[in-house]
Amino acid sequence: MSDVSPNDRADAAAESQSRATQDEVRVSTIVGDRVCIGCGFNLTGQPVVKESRYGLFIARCPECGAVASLQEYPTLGKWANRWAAMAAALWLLVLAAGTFAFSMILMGTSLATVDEGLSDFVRWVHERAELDPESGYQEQSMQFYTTDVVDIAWWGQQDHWAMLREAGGFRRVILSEVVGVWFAILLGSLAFGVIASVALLHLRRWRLAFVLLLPIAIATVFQIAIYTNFRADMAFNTVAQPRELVRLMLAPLIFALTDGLAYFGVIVGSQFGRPVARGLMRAFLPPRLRSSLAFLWLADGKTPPKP
Amino acid sequence: MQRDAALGLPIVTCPECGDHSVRRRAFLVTEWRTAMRRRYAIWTLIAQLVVFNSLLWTAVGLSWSITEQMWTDRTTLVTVITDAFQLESSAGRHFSNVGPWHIAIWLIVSITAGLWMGAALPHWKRWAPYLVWPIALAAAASAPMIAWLIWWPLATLADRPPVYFGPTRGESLVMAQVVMASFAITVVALQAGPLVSNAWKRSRNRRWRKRLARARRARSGE
Repeated sequence: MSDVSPNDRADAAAESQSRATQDEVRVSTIVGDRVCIGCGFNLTGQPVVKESRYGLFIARCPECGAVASLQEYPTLGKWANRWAAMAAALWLLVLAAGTFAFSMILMGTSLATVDEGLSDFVRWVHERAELDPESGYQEQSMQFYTTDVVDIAWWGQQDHWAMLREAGGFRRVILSEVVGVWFAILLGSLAFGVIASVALLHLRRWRLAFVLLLPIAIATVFQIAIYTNFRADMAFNTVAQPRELVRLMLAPLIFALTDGLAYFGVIVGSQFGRPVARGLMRAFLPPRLRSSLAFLWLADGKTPPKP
Repeated sequence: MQRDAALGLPIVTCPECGDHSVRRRAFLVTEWRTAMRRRYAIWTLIAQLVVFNSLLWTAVGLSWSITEQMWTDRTTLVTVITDAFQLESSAGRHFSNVGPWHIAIWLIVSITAGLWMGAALPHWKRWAPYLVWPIALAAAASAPMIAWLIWWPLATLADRPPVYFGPTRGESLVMAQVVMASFAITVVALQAGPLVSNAWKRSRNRRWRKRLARARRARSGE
């Protein structure tokens, strides 16, 4: 290839194009990615013609004029398929690892949200229990420290939602503490949605939205396991810390809101991901380079960029 | 097997039925070429985004420093620039004052932005840099205000006092002057972009010719 000068290549292109005579019958158009073996140009969108001499189906590169045959002998070696399977397995592994990592980040952040969001309400319950003689409020000595506990029976008799209202309401007591964390979760989810929509090119809108439930579902499974563990820890106790009781009451709500917000971010990000990626390519890549990433256009049934 | 002279394809003809077919190129070679080309495109995109963001945020960050100095001293951009290059005793200069390095980098970044848009984005329409760059500068300079606009409904929803943390009206007007000055420098440098691009292409071709000549000499054993 290196022996061919640019002038020779241009001549070859002109000669080859001129040879695309009236004898050749246009049969179809290349719709997938196919790189020219001569210059690397993406032949997607080029016409497929039936060549007159041998009756072969071919396409010509509009850049260098090299002919690409579209009917080829299959390769006999097994390594091609083995490499393809290995690449597919590796890609699947990357997707699975990305999904799992996002789920774990979401799960960890939702746990932090529970601790952060409930701190004010826990303090309020603590003060309330201290003032109420029926609460069984007492200091309990543990191995290395002392902690305040109340009767679980007393807690069970209370109207928890009325207590939350009395403490200042959900907005003032909980939302004001976690709004920053939730905003960060929303931004992270948007970014994940953008990346996922480009990584899962074969999925269209509704299927993509359905598949992207998977990382949220994984996080939810872990959250349910953790919540079940909270309950199990207190199953046979008669007293508990106010923090544990409040967590048991509000953790499912905060987990659900965190997961819902994350899914909303992922869905919005996934709907805008491909247009954003295409826009960036249009803005920052010259057309010749853009054409090698034509799959981003073809995935949504759009006309790929032309040089 | 014969290589057809016109098509340049390795044609195989069946001796029994006379059907023609083309021998397939090694799968790994074609896939490798496709992958390498994609990799090149993706890295080019990443590099372009890094350059764009570096230039934009450096220009805006330094413009903020200059704005603060102008706002505090109630002075003009020209005075800040000339003062920055005045030789003063260390006692006379406050540590937060804009120094010669600030101004030099601000100028270099503004010029580089113009050269980069003129040279590295030749596929842009002629008017595009005149529209895109000032919009990007304005958006980046207004980032604290945009952040507050996003934060304000969230804070209201969460029953938190939505304390304003963006620039004041006066500061914004001074910032606009500095950003416009940076854009004016960029516009001047933009005109030299194609010259830089051509010079770089010429230098690359020269290097390529030298390498070919060296390879030819090595082949012929000179």
